[in-house]
Amino acid sequence: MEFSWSVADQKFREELHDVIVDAIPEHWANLIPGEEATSSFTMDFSRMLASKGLLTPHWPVEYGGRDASGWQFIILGEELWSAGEPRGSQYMNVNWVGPAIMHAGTDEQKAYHLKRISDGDVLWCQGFSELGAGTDLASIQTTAVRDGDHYVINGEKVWTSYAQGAEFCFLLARTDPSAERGSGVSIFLVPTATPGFTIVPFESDLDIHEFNRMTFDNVRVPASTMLGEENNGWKVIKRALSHERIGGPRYERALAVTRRMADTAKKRGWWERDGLRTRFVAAEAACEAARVLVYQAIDAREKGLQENLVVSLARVAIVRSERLVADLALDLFEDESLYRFSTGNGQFKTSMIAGLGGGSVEVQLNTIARALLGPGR
Amino acid sequence: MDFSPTEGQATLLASIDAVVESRGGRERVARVATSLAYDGELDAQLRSTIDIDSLSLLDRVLASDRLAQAGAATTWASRSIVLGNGNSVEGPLVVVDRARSGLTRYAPFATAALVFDGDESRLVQLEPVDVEEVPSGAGYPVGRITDAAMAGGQVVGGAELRNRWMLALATEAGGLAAAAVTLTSNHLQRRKQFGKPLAQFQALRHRVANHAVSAESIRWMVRFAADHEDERAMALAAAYAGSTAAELSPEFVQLWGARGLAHEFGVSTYLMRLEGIRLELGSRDRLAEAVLTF
Repeated sequence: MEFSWSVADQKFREELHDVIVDAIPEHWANLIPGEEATSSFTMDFSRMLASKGLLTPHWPVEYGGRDASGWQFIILGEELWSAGEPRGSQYMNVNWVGPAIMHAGTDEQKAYHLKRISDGDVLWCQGFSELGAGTDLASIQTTAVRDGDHYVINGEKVWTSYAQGAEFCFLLARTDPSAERGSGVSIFLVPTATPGFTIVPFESDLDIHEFNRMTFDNVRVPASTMLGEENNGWKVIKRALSHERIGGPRYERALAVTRRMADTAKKRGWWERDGLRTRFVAAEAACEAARVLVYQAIDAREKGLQENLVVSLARVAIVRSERLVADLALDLFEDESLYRFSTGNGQFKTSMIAGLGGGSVEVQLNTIARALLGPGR
Repeated sequence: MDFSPTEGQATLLASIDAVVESRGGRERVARVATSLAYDGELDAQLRSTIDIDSLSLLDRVLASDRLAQAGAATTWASRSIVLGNGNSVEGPLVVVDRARSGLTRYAPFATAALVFDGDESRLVQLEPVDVEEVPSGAGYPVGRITDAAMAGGQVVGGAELRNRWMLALATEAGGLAAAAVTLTSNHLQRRKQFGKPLAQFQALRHRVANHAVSAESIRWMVRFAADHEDERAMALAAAYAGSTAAELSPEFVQLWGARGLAHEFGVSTYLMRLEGIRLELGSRDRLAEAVLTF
């Protein structure tokens, strides 16, 4: 047991940090990830990272990486999330879309998609949730019916982030309607420009992060767009979700927000306000708690150990840290947080997303409880 | 970065388990604990079996965590976290802040006290007259070190020992919390109410899951702080541990019902000790100020 960074990983962090400092406009530090997810800046930034070998360093060389340690995955996330996530929605590509294709894709899919992802050249969205199937993802009703060399997709996906600029959708659809729950589900890598595929934004109060409704009306896609085996997509998706749950090191950004708020509190003469300093320390401690549990999960992943429990512990800690920082921000700024683009309002919104995105955090509580207390029924 | 114990660390933990076992196992340890005594027998055996001076700070933290989980009434590992090498104390070491009440765990059995006095740390050899035994309210034997005793002693260090002390207490809190999660999980699986095990009620399942997150957070935070020998991280881990222990102690009692307070079910010591550690660490405000001194 020891907790020091390898020389290579430390060097990677420093190199990345310098690149970020040089490349990011000042206002980015105050953005909430997702606020500017598909802009031309994020495309240029991702391409620039890719050109320096910094976008997918932990991927194998054959897929556009540099065979670096899996720890560089989390270093990448920490450095970029604390800078407002200038990869935009491409963090998803690196975190779980690419790894899922690496794990289950055909040679052709790997050659095409992994190259484009590692070049920083493509935006994806995820077609998971439906109105009747959110966290209970196995209940999806969108169908994909085989028709010769094609599948015909019908259904609706909701709450989809980043869909407006996405070129591909990582879509879950039911290919065997008679199968129970997760069985009979397949994954398709669907170009969003396919006829019959429409994307319409939801009007919502979540202004930092656009929701979309995606409708599939007899969308015909070649059978070659299927990822993995027919009816066996659930295994792939479970693995992908495990990557997603700790892929956004929100604690690092929340910590950066906390530090900026502390500076503001000192400048405005609020630092002596009753109990305030204690809450700042509690917020920082919660962020550090999330960090060590995420590192534990990365360690398990690096060693090929079962990661369900440790990923779940980490995600709960991440959500707790976001909420604690949000609560502090709202109390600190009070009525100033009524303003839509204020620190408090942004932190409030992102903390709510923290417990929902990638599935309700209650699922992680269930996973932990199952490990400690056995099945719930 | 490696979260698995090294071979040496695994051997250390196995040695501690073997010593506990050789002195009558957890049953005797629990008896000593509930009688609010100090386990001098276990302390002596640990001292003669394991060369603690050869251990790193992280190893000492792992050892202390293990003993806290076992419910042991010994300061063998925690005093080595605080004092390091060269100031070894045989038998219970107590730690007091001269600016506070003088009340501390294990005082009735202590042979020495580490006194924090501003930025100075002094080691005081105690005589019976230096300690006033008081009724304990939190899982440990408690006594008050007199003002006269706290004024004496030899200077052994500065404010850094305060951070080591906070690390030691946070470590014990992590071990106690982890043990409480395990004991509570086992209890909820056995205990039936309304025709089914309590473990099947989601209202309880999520609470236990959240407490597991808290317990593991403390344990890994103290390990990081110890491995890096980072004093600010020690204070931050203590702030987290103190606040968490304050929440967990009544929470676990609620999950156990009245059994959580009765000695015969084997959990009360842990729950009370969590509160005891929290009180010795001090308030959230005090702990936060300690972090902000850096």
